[in-house]
Amino acid sequence: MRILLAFGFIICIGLQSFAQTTACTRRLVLAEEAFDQGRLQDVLDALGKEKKDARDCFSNFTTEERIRAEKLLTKVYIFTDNVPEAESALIDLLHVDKEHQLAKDDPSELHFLYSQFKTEPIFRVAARLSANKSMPVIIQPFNTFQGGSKKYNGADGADTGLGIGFSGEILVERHIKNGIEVGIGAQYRIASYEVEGNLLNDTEKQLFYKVKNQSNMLRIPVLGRYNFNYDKKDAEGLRLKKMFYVFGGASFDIVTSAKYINTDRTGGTAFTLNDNNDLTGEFDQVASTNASIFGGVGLRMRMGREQVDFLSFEIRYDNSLFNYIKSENRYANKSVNFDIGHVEDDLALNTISISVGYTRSIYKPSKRKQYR
Amino acid sequence: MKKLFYTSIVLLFVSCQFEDDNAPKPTDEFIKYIGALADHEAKDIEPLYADDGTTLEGFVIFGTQQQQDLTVDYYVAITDASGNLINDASFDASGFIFGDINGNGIINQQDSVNSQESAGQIEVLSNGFLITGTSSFTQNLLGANEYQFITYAFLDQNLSATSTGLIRADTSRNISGLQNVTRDMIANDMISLSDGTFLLIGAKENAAETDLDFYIRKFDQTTIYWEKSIGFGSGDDVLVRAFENDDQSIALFGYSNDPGINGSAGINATYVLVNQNGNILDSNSNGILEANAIDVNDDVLTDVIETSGGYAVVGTSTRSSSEQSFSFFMSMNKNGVAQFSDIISSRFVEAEASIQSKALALTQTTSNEFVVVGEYPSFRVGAENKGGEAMFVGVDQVGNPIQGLESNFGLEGGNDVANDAITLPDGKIVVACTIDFGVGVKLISLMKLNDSGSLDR
Repeated sequence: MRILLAFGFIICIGLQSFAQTTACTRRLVLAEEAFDQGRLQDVLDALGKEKKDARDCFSNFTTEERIRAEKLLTKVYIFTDNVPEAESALIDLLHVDKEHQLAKDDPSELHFLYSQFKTEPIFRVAARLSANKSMPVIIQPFNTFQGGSKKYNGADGADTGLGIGFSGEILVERHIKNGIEVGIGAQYRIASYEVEGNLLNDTEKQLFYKVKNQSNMLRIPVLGRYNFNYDKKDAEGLRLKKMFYVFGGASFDIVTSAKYINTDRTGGTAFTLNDNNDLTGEFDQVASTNASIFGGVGLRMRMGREQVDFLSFEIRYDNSLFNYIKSENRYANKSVNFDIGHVEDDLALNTISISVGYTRSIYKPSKRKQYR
Repeated sequence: MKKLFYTSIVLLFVSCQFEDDNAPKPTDEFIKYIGALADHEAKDIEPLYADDGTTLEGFVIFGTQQQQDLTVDYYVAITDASGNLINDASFDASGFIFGDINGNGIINQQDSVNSQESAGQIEVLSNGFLITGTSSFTQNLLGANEYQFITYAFLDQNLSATSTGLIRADTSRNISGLQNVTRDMIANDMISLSDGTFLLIGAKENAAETDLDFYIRKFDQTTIYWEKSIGFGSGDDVLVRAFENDDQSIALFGYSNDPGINGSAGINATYVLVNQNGNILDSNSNGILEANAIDVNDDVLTDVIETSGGYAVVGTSTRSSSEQSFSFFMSMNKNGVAQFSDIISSRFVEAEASIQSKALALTQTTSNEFVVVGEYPSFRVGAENKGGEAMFVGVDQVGNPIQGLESNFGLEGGNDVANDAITLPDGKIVVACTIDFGVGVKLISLMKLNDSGSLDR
């Protein structure tokens, strides 16, 4: 019995809501007809927000209806020379439909008012996940063995992994002008490189080692980005849904930790490095800070109803400017130098990465300073 | 805009770095392994300088290398100043190059028998190198007795043997016509003398075949000028190092059982001064005095260097009661009398009061202190027993270990040994080691350390 009562209550609520929505929709349609017929006061009577039933309707409108209603009110206030209310309505409109795109046949007065308002985002917040592959650039080689050189990341038949790592990044970005954006943020990057050294430099690899050097970095990137066709619109007057972009920047990098993992020597009495695998701390073998420049290309795709947020894909190359290895402590770890037979090259820990990201635009519609 | 796009793509794969001009270079400090998948042993290292006498061009290392037939041959390796191998060669004393191995008076195919070589020293000559050592005739298929003999070779700068020699203690011939060689001979050092000849020193088994006597030979590539065997008391007498004085007399250092005036019971470090004809002018023995009356120390000298005031000597002292071995350091005056002598107390492992060690060589640093190298045969770190590790310890003029100038290095397993060390004019120290990777793989390791004995800056 109780279930039936509850069910009935829900049905009633639903029906009431449906009835109210239908009534509000009809009210909006009638208001639009009134506007078309020049009966501006009727529009205000129907949608003026000083009335409770009108305010209720704004609450019940679908987003599309609310956009129509806010825009209609804005136009009515313009044509009734009620500028303060027109501005208020326009701000309400921009809250509902950020970067609302006016149609060509919208009244020029509306275009004029619109131009007095900030319709672009005050900033954007981007989150990005990346997979990276290290591309160490050897500044100066150091080897314990004779002839040849170390093989990095599986190159030249090395029996190692590819040096794959991951990173996550959050950026705060701001559009400056004509598709140019600047941003600053924080990135946490796990990068690794894998090395094979052949102590005898023989083809049979009878005495060789593998080393995986993994570093965790907190990075503070500052970037500039140019979006191609940022303001360009299609034949229907809508902004393009896809944008290519190029970007570049610099980053201050802080190594939070670095260690050897999966490090062993084969041949003789095999040895696996289990202890003494920290490159930071006691051995202090990597530079605690570094600086990088980076650049890349990407593709942005507009997302959501308002088409103001983005899904992005990009390729990025990070070029570390200074030696990753603290060269004066290169030989600090005897287990690595002797038991493994490895010494680190002076190298820049560059990476190439592919990433997917989501950018959310944040707005605060307001009148431009010069029009206040 | 397209240009911007394409330029960006190109720039994507261009990288740049700022290099620190003050960063350590590969020539500054290094560890280098030399050798193939076999047992190697380093014995001696010498620097190679350009004609100006000051520009370091590289190093030459003398040692041994095991061959595929499991025999051990002499091995010479030349590296550049960064320790990179430029040339190497091995020499089998049982081959033709060293002469009449089986002693039948003919150098022929029969002389190609197996032998084991034990490296002595290498001398850098103006036109090449002179290597010497001891060979063991072990695989005797020809009816001759097994024995040890001295072998040497003059090598040109490309490590090709230009002249070779073999010295053995001949006695009589057996019924097969083979010389019945039974007495051992050992070579430990060979030096160039100011008159252009060479002096080879070591030991030769006495006629009674009971022990070894000092052995000296003065010769050049064509002539043997003289040779001497000198018995110095009971037990083995072995010469290890020789130095020519300004008056052409020769200071010889070795070990013997002779206590002399200053020596003690057991084996002593022995000094012998001979004139240019090999006649004894003076002699002295010096031993490490044991604190208790029970122990007798056998003090086996392993290396000597000349100092401004005399000689610095290292060796290994073995206690009779415990048979524990410890490195010793002696400072001798020009007359071979010890001014100071004591055990080097290794303290690099905290709470371990007496770590056994064996000193093999020493070098004088640019600050007039000494670095002694050798091995710690075994020791404990906490509850962990460690295998042999290479020893590197700095001592002052009277043999006290210098704080912060003592280290051990090597692999976690295996027996690693620092065999020889030299000091470069810039104060850096180069050490030749034997590093044991286990399972029959020992590589020669060349290490260049800074003047603090560290690989770090």
